[in-house]
Amino acid sequence: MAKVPGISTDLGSNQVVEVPADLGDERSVARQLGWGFWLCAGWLALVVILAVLAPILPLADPNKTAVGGRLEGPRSGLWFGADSTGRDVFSLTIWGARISLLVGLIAIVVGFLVGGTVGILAGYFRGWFDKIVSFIFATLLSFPALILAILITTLLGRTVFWISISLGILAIAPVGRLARAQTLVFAEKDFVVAARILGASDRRILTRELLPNVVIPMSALALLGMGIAIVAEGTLAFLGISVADGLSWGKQIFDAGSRATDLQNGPHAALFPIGVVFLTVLALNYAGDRLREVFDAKELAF
Amino acid sequence: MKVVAQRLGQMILVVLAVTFLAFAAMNLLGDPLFNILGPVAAAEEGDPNYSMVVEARETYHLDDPFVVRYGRWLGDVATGDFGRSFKNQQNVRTILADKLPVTVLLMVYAQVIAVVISVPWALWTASRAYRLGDKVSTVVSFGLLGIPVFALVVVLFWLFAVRWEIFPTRFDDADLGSRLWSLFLPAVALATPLIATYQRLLRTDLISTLQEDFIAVARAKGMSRWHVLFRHALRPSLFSMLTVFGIQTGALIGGSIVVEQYFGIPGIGRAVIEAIIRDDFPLVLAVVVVVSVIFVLVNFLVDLLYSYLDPRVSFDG
Amino acid sequence: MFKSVRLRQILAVLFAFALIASACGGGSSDSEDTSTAVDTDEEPETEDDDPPEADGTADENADGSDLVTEDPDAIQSGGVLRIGIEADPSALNPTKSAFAAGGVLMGTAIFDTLVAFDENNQWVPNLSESWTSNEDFTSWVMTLRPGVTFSDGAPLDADAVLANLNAQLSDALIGLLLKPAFDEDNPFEKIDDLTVRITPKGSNSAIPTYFTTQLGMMASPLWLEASEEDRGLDQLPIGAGPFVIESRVQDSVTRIERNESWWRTDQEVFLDAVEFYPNNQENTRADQLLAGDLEMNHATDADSILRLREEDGISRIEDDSGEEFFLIFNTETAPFDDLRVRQAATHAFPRAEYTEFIMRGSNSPAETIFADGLDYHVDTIEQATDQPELAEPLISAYCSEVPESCTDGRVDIEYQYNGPSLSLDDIAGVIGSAWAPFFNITTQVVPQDDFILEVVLGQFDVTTFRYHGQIEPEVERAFLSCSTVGAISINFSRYCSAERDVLLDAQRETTDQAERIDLWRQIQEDIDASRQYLLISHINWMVAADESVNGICDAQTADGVKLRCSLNGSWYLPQIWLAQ
Repeated sequence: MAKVPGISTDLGSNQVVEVPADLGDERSVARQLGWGFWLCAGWLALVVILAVLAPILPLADPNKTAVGGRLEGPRSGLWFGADSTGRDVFSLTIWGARISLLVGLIAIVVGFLVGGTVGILAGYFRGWFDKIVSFIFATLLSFPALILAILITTLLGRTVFWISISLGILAIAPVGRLARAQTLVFAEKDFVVAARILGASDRRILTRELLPNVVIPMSALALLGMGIAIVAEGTLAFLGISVADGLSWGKQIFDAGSRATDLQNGPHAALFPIGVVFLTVLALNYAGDRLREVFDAKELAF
Repeated sequence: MKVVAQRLGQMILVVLAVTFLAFAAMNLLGDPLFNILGPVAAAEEGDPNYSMVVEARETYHLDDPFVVRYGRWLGDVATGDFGRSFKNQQNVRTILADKLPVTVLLMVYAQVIAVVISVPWALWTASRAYRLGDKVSTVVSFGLLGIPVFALVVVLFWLFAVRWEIFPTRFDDADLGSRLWSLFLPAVALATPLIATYQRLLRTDLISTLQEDFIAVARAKGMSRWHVLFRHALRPSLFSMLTVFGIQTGALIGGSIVVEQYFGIPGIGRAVIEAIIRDDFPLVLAVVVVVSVIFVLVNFLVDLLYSYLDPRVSFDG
Repeated sequence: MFKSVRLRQILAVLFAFALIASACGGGSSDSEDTSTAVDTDEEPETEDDDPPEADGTADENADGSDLVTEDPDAIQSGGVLRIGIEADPSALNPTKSAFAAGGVLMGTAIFDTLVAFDENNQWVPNLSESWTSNEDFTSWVMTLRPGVTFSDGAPLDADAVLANLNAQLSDALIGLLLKPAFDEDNPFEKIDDLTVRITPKGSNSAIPTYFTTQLGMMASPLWLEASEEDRGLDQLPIGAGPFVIESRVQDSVTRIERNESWWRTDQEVFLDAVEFYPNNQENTRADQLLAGDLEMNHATDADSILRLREEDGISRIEDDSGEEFFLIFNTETAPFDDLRVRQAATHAFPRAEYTEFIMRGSNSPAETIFADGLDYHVDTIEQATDQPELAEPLISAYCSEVPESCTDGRVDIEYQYNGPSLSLDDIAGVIGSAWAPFFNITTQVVPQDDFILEVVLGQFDVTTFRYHGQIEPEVERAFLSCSTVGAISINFSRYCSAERDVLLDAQRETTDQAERIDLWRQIQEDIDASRQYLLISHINWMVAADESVNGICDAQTADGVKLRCSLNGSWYLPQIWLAQ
């Protein structure tokens, strides 16, 4: 399994191209993933369920102030305590998860749909189309990501939809570049070559041979990508330039964590959401990494 | 050498494309005439102020097609003229000269911390791969990757500046020593995800290098484990880490916006956020140019380093 | 909307000027109130939830020698004073740039002001020598001091003053601000080298007070001219004040040094240099002061004020006689064009919660635009807050009449504030939470520049604002009268009443204090009845210094008149000395 650093003609990064192993025995996949994966999956499921059910759960209105005292510590009924205006930190965290998860999800779907499609087409057809696409990817990757995100959101508006789209745009280049590299590898494989010799149409080869072999292993990376998108949204929110009127983990952490006196008197208001973000991103990373290893896809270079 | 020249050509093309994108985006954000003239810009023919509009359109060549304006701006940039900030008419070059050094210091600082910690850590874990220490390290490394910079700054600030009062709460510009001391927490916040990334990549590569024949030969010659690790295994294992090192320079720029904002460091990250909010496009464009040039250059240097690290890889390969 | 930096700059100047000028007070007022609580105690405060009273006394302990120097022999020369300021002005050109508290502080040190306020809030000549008017205040004559020069050697004469005043006047929006007070056609004339005639619009007894802050800061005419060519010079101003600018890195540090050729022979400049460190995170500034990274700081946020009050070895000046914090309703557009909606918002305002979570004893609640203890304060006015049950019928009546402004029986509004700002986020949270049963609120956080622009252009429904609250109320006129309602309105709320305008004109023409107080009582009652504002609190400006700083309140004019210690977060620097 020697790794040959491919000196690609692209700028920015040199994708290390590696041949993914064939999908393993289906039955053993669950076991291969290990208990750590299932623990992470469980946490993620819990967060997702709570976030989805937030409107019908018996939670305090996250915007309601004076639910508890100023920076009141955790107690029964106020599990994560209250923040500096007496809002329920637990409720805020659950509601914050809704936007964070939604943005992460949409962003990664956009990134995979656009990046994946363009990358596969570029890798399959090569030629001038490939040159242009590779150049665009290199350009996008050379653009300071956060500045690009800020520019796009300033341009398009700070709604959940547009924030997600702009983060999705950021994901296009790394995903597309990987899809292209994987396609290059597969296009040379016997079964593809054979299909071509047998007269299969490009469309058939693309959809029947390349799509399952390139995209499905790559989708193991979706969880990793989602983690990155959630952090990116949090960063924008932390800087005060994410969803204008929404609750979000980044905003919550910034609100509770920017005042030294608040951190001194009631660190719980910042530390609980930090803990939840940490565990969620960790779970996405770990579960994503396990999937990547089991399906042996390459790492994404964001 | 031909390949190097070709790469340089591509680099320039990419930088051009990046600046074109930024120029287009900034032009969509607002009518430059309003930024220059204010409400007078709305004056129409017949209005006493209309002459000012005509004059400004002429001075700033606003009637030229977009591409021509882009070309003119590019020409100015090539001669080192970034124009003046809309905010206060300050020369953008002066602003860059004021603010860029702190940001570069912060980024270099973070990279140094990351490399100094991750390389020995990776060597240690690779040398005891799949044993307890390595497994614990994997968990720790994952943990470090799970902390977003924006959450980490809060935790670091809370622990080391508020609770234990070890580090100052403010950037201290007195001399290099106080600069490094006051930038320590911000740099650690930036370095943390890098440490984990580098450690994981280097560990993986080291493990596969250690299985190669020349390592076994070296070990057979009776060289010590650490000698083998450092002198023989490390160099050919640095590829993935180096690649990511280059790519992470871009992420660091984003991260530095967060830490500069949170810790109140007067660097380019803070300036660019404010400039974007104000539509101060000479400044935004200048930062985009500088940042993408740095990014492309770093990655170019990384490529050059490959051939140094492993003579088997040549640029003409 | 306009995407205009220039317009924003101008508006910011206008806004900042208004803020500052409005809070200065004095003039022909007979007020004896200092409206300043001075506090240098070494023991912790006993009552933390006791808001400073506007008529607070100068409460000094015997050992609290920080604010006033009792033994002149103890004074030490030299040292560098480091001051934390809440924001850096975009430039330091008083004819063009926006000076908020930090800008006024720097500007006063570099330029000095033509007129200043003494400790009894009377205006006194400062850089100028004297002011006289004719009997009905329709013409004023200012005389300059002979031999005053700028630090570049240019003389401060009538020509220099005219260059400054005309530059202000010709600046698009400063001109607009001056319009209510000055005739557009040549209001400033040179009589001889040291004398300038100033002609106000109509009768105006308070003209000198206009020149106590930014408009009174005189810059070298040579530099003014050069800065027209090279706008970079706006960062390196030249004035006739006690300090000269040494270096400036915007948003980082500005350093000024002693002006060795200052014209004042009666006052030595004790400090070698002063450094200003802008930081909009108020907590960080307080941290820095306590950690010894700064010697002085100013603050208005509850957190800093409460923390600094508890600290030993910090001397403090608190002053809530200046600005007010309040909600502005846009009375020109739906839904707040309807009195019932404004009324309902007022009823639903959570005063008790606001006091508990936001003010926390750092300042006092406001019912009207003059703080308790000021001559013009009216204590019979009480806004009917904390009565959400009264809001209910008003809202349902409105919504059945104007269903297009309502959704689900609640009124749709846009709540705007400038940010990012943590304290304004908290405030929006508390108010929004109480308003939620009656209003569907869309929150909009707008950067400071855009914010001012949108308020002035009327692109808002309701917004929080920091402004109003003067001792000498003349400057208020522009912000309350019908004449300033238009596409660009300095009357932000756009509420116009002919009766009020009559009252506003009347108060300007008289110097009879009892009459003015009565007129202003009527004006305040009219404001209250209009519900154009919801007064929230009197801003408490704290100036804090560590133990090494002495003589903060020692400032005098060249004529030996003791000056007011601090004004809205700004104070004087030449008389300050550091114990080493």
